[in-house]
Amino acid sequence: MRVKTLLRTGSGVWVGVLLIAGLLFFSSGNTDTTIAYWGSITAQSTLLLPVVGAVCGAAAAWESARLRESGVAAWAPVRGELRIVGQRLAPLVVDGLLGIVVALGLFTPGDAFGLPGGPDAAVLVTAVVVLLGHLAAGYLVGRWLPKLLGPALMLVGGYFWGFWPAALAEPSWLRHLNGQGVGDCCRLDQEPSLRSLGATAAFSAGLVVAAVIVVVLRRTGRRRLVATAASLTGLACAIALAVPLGFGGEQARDRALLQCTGSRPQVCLWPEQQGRASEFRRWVKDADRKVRAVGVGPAERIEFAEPVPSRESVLVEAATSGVRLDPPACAERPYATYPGDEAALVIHPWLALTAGVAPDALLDWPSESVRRAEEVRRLPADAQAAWFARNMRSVRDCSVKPDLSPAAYAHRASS
Amino acid sequence: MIWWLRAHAVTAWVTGLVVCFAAAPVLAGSSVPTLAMFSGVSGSIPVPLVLPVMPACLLLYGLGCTSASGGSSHAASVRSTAAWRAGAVVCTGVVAVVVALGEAAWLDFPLGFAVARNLLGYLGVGLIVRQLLGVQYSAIAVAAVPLLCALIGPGPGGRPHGWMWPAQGSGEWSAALAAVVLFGVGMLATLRLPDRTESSRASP
Repeated sequence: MRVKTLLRTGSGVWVGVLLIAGLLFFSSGNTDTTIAYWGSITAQSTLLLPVVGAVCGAAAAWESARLRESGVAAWAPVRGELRIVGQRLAPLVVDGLLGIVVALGLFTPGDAFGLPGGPDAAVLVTAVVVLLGHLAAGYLVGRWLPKLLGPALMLVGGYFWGFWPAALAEPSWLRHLNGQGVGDCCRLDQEPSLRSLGATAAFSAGLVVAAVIVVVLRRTGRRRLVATAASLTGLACAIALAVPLGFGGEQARDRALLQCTGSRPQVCLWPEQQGRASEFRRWVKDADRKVRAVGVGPAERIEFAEPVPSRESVLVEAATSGVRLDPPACAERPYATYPGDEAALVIHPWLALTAGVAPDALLDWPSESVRRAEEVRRLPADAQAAWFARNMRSVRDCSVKPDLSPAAYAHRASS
Repeated sequence: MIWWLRAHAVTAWVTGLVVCFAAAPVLAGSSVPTLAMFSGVSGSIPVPLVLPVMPACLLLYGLGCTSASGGSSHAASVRSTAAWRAGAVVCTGVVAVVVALGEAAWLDFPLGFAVARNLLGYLGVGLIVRQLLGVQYSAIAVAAVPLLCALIGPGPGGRPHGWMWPAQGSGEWSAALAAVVLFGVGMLATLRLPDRTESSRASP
C-alpha cells in the first residue's frame, strides 16, 4: 500500500499530532526531580509512557475495529492478515516511538549533552516493548468490542493501568508490570533495576505474542487457547520476577566507575561529578582542616549525592561525614525518651558553621539551634572539642542528658 | 417495546449503570494520580468520579446501534425516534440522581451526588460531540474528558481548578450547574439536529 494512502485512510497522523502537541503542552510546568545523570533522566521519562501507551492503544483499537467492520478477511485478500494488520498499526508504532523520544527530550536538561554515557538503553527498549504491548492489547480489544467502545476502554483503561498501580501500597510489585517500576530512580549510585525492566518486558511480550497468535492461527478454538496460554505465561514470568522486588526499582551502580583520590578522607566521585572534581577536593580539604581543629575526626571515605552541588552542601557533607548523628537503637523503641535529639539539632549546624558555611545559609535548622551553635563557636578550640565530646555521648546513649550551654565549657577551658 | 430495548442495547447500559453505582462506594477511597507535568503540583482524582465514563459510553453505544443503518430510517419513522431516545436518556439521568442521593444518604458515601453529576456531564459531552462530529467519536470524546482533567492536574494548593467540573466534590454548585447545562445542550442537540453518521457525511 502506498504510504500516502495508508496515512490518509488511517488515524496515525491525527494521533501523532494530538499526542506530540499534548506532550509538549502538558510539560510546561515540568517538575524537576531528575538529576544530571542519564540513568535518572531516562528512568524518570517513563512517567509519560502510560499517556503514550493509552493514546496509541486507543488508536490501535480503532484501527482494529475498522478492519473487522470492513470484512477484509472475507473478501479474499492477496496479502496475509499479519501484513495487513502490521501495515495499519505501523503509523501508530511510529507515533509511539516519537512519543517516547519526545518524553525523553522533555526530561533532559539543557546541558545534558556534556554528560558521560548516554540514555539508558535498557529502559528505552523496555519502553518500546510496553508500547507494543499497548498496541497489541488495543488490537485484541478492537477485535472483540464495537468500534465505539474499544478506543474509550483502551484510553481510560490504559491510563488507569499506567498510573494506578504506582499509587497502591499493595501489591507493591504491581508497578513493575506496567513500566512504572523505575519511575523513582535514580541517585548517582543507583541505576534502573534490570529485574524490574525484565518483568515489564515479560508482561508486555506476552500480550504481543498473544496478539500475533490470534492473527496468525486459523483454527478458532485452538487460537484462543494458545493466545491465552501465551499471555498467562508472560504474566506468570513477570510476577515471578517482580514480587521479590517490592517497591524498589533500583540496583546498585557499578562501583568500578568511582574514582577516589586522597586518604582520610578519601573523596570518591562518579563520572558525572568529575567535571567539578577540583572544586569538590578543595572544599573537602578546607572543611576537613577546620573541623580537625575542633577535635572532630573525618570519615574514611566520602561520596556525594548530587552531580552539581553547591559549596555549602559539600562543606556540610564533608564536616558531618565522620560523625554519626542518627538516633541509636534505644531511641527507636516506642515511648522511648531520647534527650540526645536536642543535642543533634545543635551539633549539626555547629559542624556546618565550623566548616565555613555562613549562618544565613543554614535555613534547614531551627534559628534557636543555629544561635546556640554560634555561641559555641565563640569558645576556644579545646572548649569546643570538649563540648562536642560531652554532647556526642548523649546523642549515642539514651540515658545521658546533653549539656549544651557554652558557659560551662568556658569555665572548664580557663581552669 | 422489547424490540426497541434490544435494538438499543438497553441491557448493556443498565448493567453498566448498576456496576458503576455498585462499585463507586466500594472504591470511594481510591484515587488515580494525576501528572504534575502541567501545574507542577501532583494530585489525584477519586476513582468514583471517573467511573461514570463506563455507563455513559455504553449508553452512547446503545443510542448509536441503530444509527449505523443510516439516519434515513429515522427520518422516515412515524413516531419521533429522537424523542424516544431523549426520553431514555432523561430517564437514565433521573434514575442515576435518585440512586446517587440514596447512596449518599444511606451508605455514607459523600461523593454520591458527584458521581451522578459526572454521569450527566459526560452524557452531555457525548451527545454534543455525537451530533456535531459524528456518532463514532462520541465515546472517545467522553473518555477523553477525565483524561484531560488528569493531564492538566490540580490547581494551586492541590485543589482542582474551578472550571474543572469532573474533579470537584459533591458540594460545588458551579460544577453541578456546568454538568446540567452540558446535559441540557446535549438533549437539545439530540432533539433538533439530525444524526451525523459516516454514511450521511459521505453522501453527496
